[in-house]
Amino acid sequence: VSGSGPPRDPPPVRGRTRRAAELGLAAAALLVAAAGSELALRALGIAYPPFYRTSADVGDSLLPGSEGWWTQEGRAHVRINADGMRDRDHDVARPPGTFRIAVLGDSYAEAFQVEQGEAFWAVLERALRGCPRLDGRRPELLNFGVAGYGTTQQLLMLQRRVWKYAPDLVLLLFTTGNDVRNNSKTLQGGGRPYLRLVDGEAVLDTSFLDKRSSRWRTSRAGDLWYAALQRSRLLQVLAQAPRAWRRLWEPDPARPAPGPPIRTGWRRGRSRRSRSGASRRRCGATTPACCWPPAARRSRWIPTLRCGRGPPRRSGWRTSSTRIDDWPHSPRPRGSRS
Amino acid sequence: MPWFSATQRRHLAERSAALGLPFVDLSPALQAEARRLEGRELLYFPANVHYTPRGHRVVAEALARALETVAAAAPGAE
Repeated sequence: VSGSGPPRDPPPVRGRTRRAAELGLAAAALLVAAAGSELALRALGIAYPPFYRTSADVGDSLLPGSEGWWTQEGRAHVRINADGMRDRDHDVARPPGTFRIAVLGDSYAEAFQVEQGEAFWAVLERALRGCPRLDGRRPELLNFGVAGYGTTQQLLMLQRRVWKYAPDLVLLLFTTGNDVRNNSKTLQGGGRPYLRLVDGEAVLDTSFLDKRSSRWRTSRAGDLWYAALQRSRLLQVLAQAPRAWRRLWEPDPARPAPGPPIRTGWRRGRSRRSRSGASRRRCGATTPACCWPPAARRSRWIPTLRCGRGPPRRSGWRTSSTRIDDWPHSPRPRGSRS
Repeated sequence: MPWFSATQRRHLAERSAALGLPFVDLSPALQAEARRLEGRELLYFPANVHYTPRGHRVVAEALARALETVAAAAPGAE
């Protein structure tokens, strides 16, 4: 009897077509899901704009064109100009009749915590208008501050990005709390350029560029990644995932542990708050990091930045560096925005 | 830690003078404003001790006073 053999496989062409159709469908579904997520994130106002990237000339620097809200401390809308400055756009050629002042510094000059018009360099520009000592020249302040910079990176910034603007005056904002430490590879760790003394000569150490992550960030692929990250809220959220995962397993030491110890933490927090307030008043507002422990997220630095004499008590410092804003009993100071 | 801060600032002032660079110590202006405000308004955000808008204003005013003299000595822009 003919035709009673085993069933034949379908022709291979049809199988490939089907697989292609399934893949196409899956890709379309992914695209629709991504587009929906993007729209939802935009509608909800969720964004993690990237403000920094690694540059071969100065190390970490501000990402040109980035824009978004800064809420980690204070609340301000931050826009990075086309040349990677937290400032408005400036012509490279100095306009006639201007007196240019370039500001170098760290996060205090970067001033993400306040609106651009409230930063000292913006206020200073307004204050100097009409200053008789400028002989009718219009003051123009250019802000080159970048968080985390020590004087080594500030020097590189001056040499490689500032001089082209031909400033009449360079203003270096020096933070005694960490600008020296930022220059030390031993204290600060890798990931940035350093100056090493070799036979009495300062030699630039750019070994951070040899790291795989730096190579990638400074490559063309890195450019494309940051360009995509600036435009896609979904990518911004996904890029936060590894950090969120780490935080899940390494709880923020600034926050008291959940459960009964919270009440203890509050009580200690109130006590600490009043003491810290007194300390701040006593110190006035001199060198910030000396008057107040820095954010406990950088807890490894707390011992080096302690205020008191003698060894820091680990548990006490963890409590003292808790954010005041997080304490339920803390009255919000009048006039403060955070 | 005022003693430490004062030592640092004195060191910076001396080094700047040796290099012939004008040095502006912002601490007196900030301390005076902190005393005047008596805690009613902060010059620093408590979380990470960066300047509040009020702190920035105090810094700008102190720099404006100092720069008036420095600017006069700077080369002309024309």
